[in-house]
Amino acid sequence: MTATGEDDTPLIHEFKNHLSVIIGFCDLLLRDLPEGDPKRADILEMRRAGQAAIALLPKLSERPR
Amino acid sequence: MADSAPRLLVVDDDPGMLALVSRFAEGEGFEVISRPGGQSLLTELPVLRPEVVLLDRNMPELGGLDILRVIRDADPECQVILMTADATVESAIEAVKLGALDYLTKPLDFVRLGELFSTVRFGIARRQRLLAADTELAGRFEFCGMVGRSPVMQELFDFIRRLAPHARTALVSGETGTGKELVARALHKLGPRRDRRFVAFNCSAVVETLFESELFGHTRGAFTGAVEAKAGLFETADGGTLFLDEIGELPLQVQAKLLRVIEYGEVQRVGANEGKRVDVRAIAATNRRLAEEVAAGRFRQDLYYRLNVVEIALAPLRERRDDIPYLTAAFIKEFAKRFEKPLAGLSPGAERLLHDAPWPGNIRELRNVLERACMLSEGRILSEREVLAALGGGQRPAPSVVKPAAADVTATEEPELDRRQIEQALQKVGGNRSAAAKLLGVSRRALYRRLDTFGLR
Repeated sequence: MTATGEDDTPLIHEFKNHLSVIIGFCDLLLRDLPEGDPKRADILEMRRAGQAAIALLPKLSERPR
Repeated sequence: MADSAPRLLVVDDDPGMLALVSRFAEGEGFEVISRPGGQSLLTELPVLRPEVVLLDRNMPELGGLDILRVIRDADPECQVILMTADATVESAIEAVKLGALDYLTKPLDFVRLGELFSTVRFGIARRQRLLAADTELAGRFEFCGMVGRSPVMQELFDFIRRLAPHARTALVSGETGTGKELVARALHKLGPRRDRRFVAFNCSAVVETLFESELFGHTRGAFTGAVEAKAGLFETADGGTLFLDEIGELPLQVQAKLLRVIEYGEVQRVGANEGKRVDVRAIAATNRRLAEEVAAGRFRQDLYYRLNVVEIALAPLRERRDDIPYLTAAFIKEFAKRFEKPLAGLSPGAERLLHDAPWPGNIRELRNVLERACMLSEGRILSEREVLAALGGGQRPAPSVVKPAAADVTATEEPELDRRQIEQALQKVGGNRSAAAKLLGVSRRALYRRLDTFGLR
């Protein structure tokens, strides 16, 4: 709950879902690509960013408006 | 079928998640169906018949836990994995308590999911292997259409094998559905008369006044209605075997005549002066205790002694429950083939139900139950629910809209049967519906319709 009394958990939940899809497809691509494939590094970057975004989500809910 | 892919249902309101899981599961060898959730899914579930379900916990219309409850209720064998974006310890415990296989958090850990898939696949394969093994064993323990691994059955088979070349008469006793006719056929098939006729006659299916003419034949004009001369079953079976089922139903005066034919090998048509020599092996069967019938004066003692020179007593199924898995395997194989269904096994729950049922109608009842369960089944594994429904203890499906119309038709076409008549008939034949239909003089379909009407099915 936020200070305004609005429950924004559903929104954060939505965000996490979308990010999970992004990360999930990164994982699938990584499974398919052989070790040493130059694209792997790019995908790992995408994945890392997605994970970072997820890590930020709890802070989002604590942020006063 | 062992080689077809197990079916996975993915439910999530996020299309991206559905695409993701589908992609992964297809790579793992599953047939994947994906749905966005909602009430409509509940009606679709019985049709989809998934073996595994991956469920999103938080969905707007209908939550994953509610769907999990429905699935666990409908098909306890179906494995359910929940997934959620925000897992708490409490919700995980709740899910596992409800019978979920696991509770995964998003983003999904594909290594973990892959392991779960292996567990599920392994479970399915194990069930299929078990049935395959039982089918194979059933084949090995099969003897002239009978399946029995238990010592009493092995002894029986051995007894029949030794007896078949010699016995001129035999009495097969056993409860209804224990396979008395199969024993008679085995005696015939393994005996010296195997190339001659095997004639079966059910003494309970004949009007009392017609016994004599059925068994011994009659001359032209022997009685009103005897327009043509007719050979009796003894003449028809000359050189072969005559199987007299339900011998206890035979009227006393016919018993006397029967004894003479068996003793002297001479049969006299009704209305004829001369006898005719016949060479018939007579095998009688009964589900009554003939000794008691004799004591009560309902069965001739001399005929009883003539018949029970060789008596083969068949054990009721409840006394040889160890054979149930093999019988089950043999019947499932038979019906899967007949109904062209991919059935390859049954769930542990279904197996337990079959093992523990009282089986008053014995193997015939087991066979009928499995026939119905196989007919109902939509999956590869016969479920507890399907077996329960076939046993008659399951929840009845809601009456369909076509029923009243069908009932109207039956009312005009078929004799009205009240509930009591049907129950009595069923009881008399040990629950065998075809036999009950015959007894009541209606078609089997008609009987089923009546059973539906009375909710007896």
